[in-house]
Amino acid sequence: MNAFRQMTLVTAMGLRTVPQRPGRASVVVIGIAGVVGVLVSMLTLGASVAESMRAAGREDRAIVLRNGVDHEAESAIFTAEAQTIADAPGVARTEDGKPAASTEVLATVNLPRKLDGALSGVLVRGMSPQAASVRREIQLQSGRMFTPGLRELIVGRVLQEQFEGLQLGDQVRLSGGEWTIVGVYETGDMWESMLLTDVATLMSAYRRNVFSSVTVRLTSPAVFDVFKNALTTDPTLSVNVMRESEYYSKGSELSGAFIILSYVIGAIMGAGALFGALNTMYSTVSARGVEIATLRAIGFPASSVVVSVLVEALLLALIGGLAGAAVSWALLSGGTFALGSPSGSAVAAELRVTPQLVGVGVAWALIMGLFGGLLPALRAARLPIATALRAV
Amino acid sequence: MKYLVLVWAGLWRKPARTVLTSMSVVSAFLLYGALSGTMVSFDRWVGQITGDLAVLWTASRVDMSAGLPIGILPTIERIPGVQAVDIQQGFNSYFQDPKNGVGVEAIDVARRIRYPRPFFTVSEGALEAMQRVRTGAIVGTELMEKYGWKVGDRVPLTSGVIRKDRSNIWVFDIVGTFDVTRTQARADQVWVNYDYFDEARAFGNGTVGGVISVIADPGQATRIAAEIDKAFANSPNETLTRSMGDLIRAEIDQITDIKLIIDIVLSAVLFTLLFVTGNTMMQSTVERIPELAVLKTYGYTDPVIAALVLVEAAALCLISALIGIGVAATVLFPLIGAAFRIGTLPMDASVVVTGVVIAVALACVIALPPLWRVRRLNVVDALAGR
Repeated sequence: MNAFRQMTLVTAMGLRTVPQRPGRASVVVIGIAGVVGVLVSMLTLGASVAESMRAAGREDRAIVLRNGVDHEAESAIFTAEAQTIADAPGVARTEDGKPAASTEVLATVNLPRKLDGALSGVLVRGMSPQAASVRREIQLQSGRMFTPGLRELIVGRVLQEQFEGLQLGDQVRLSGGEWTIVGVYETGDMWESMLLTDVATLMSAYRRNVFSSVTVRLTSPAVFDVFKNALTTDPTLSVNVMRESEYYSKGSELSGAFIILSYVIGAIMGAGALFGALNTMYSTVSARGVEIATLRAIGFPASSVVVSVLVEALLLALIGGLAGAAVSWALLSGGTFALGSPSGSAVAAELRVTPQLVGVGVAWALIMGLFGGLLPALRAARLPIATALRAV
Repeated sequence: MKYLVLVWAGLWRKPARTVLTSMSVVSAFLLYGALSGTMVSFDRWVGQITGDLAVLWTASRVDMSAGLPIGILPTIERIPGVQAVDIQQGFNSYFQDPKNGVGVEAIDVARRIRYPRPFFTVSEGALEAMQRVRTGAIVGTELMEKYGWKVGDRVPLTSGVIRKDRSNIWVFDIVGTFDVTRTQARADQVWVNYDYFDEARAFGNGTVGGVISVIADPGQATRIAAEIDKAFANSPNETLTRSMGDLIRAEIDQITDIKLIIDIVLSAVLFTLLFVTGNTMMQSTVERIPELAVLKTYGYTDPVIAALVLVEAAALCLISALIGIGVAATVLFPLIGAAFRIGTLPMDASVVVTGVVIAVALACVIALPPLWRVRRLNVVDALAGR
């Protein structure tokens, strides 16, 4: 009989006894399921927000801010500067030959959250008519586009789910009066957590005469350096030029902190479940002492006993890990979640329990299973045969 | 005494198992202490730094970024119960490199002289010097040290706030310094003249970010806040007035409903780990039913045996829980405090009390099924191992 066959036999025999001790098996399975459920759920919250920010930044777009400023909310760009930026080399053209550049202005409006009715800041963004050619991912889901000159807004789908009073036809109070929601849009990224309108209409309502930023679509990602050089060497300009992908990656600090917190909680909780698994596997080994000793006495090598105990622990851990991931998928998938910053406004994201996150959870479970099974397996292998047999 | 010996012997019947079980419970309460403890302590910390201030904060109700006209100050000043009002207007800047962020606060010097800010000490004559030097600045000692600035230095700060001359570099002359008198505040800002700042900036002239009202009686905060907001209702400058504590809590809440998430995570953590340990401890007690039968044979009554089982479970849970909460308070809290730059948080007594209650409840749940078996135990069967 070869070694592999011996291992398979002993392992199969061990596994067949698992249903006889449902209490012990459930400690490992439920313990690990709980850890993986919490870990995968928290990672989903953090990663969905990070992903929705990452997805918003495209390689072939550039954002121009005031020099020394790295956030739109603090930036100011004069009308003349905006014209120079739009005319710079590398900027793509719209179908009717205009530069694909959107001059934009930001405002923040306090709106009640659905969750608890508390007022929370929401971003209102004014865009120029060329924005449709700059951000081609903006798709109207229902209603219609805002009309320049009229106090009309379109609302992001995720924002609409998170806040009160943002249905089609609802009135939103901004500076200077009531604005009407006329459309709902989708982008598949963090832009769904905003209200959009025409930049000139918003500026006149807020009595502003400078833009916050200019975003341009480049003819290709490669011309970014040409575009940036043209602007930074222009003596009439004092601006900060960034790839849009770089700009949005800067905002992911908060979700990064959230992801670190998830792993810390996952690690401490995992240690707790690991001690439980160790306990269980030790008592399994001692309960099967006679059986293991008998196997050893009739010539099965210690290695097959080690493998048998390890495989059992890993299998229970795998079941627990998959169950935990399944629970967080059932609870979270399709929902939305908002993460904001004290100074800025909420970034809402649609939750996606991705295969990668399930993979992380299952890997976490298998690590716990491995450590939980290893020491008991070695104990099983070192069991003094004669003593164990006498325990009958 | 003999009972204690029995409990002790029971605990160490299988030392490896006891230690492992204990570590599981320690992990659960470590997380409980860290998460629940942080929430409670943070709330108390907010209360501590704001509670004794009796200060209200008024901002624009519609748009936080828009600010309020400075002309609304006299109206707020006239509301009964308001002792003093002051402006709040800040902006971000950096010194030489964007990594060297510097917070700038534009202050109304005349008001600062009349109503000194609590917890701040300003160097001799600095506020008076600000009245003479329009471009003057009073700099926090922490910042003076960081950049090696001296009084009399002229420092350029780059900012997103544009000047009327279209530059975004603001140059200030340091005329004095300020320090803080309590650890929660920080001396890392630059104070400049609001009059000069407002006149020089290109946009937003005549507005302030918010208005601070010092009130006589903190008990009247809600009434006064409502009255301030009522005074501007249906005007172009509708206001939202909150106490300083509520403001900070709202800002933290805004990050996300952090409390809800922590509550859900905690319930999942406690359920999982307590299921694991409870199950293990239950098994251990069930294994010992023959031993309990021996005690019963010797004449120990059911209540005494019940008490022994319960005390043993409670001792293990309580000691582990206290270790977990202790480690959270001594190891994790300083780390959390450092991460949020608020110093070490104190562990709140209520967190410890709730932790003890959870631990005892856990012990009861664990001890219950074995107790049930023991009560109905047939000594002969049990001794025979049946």
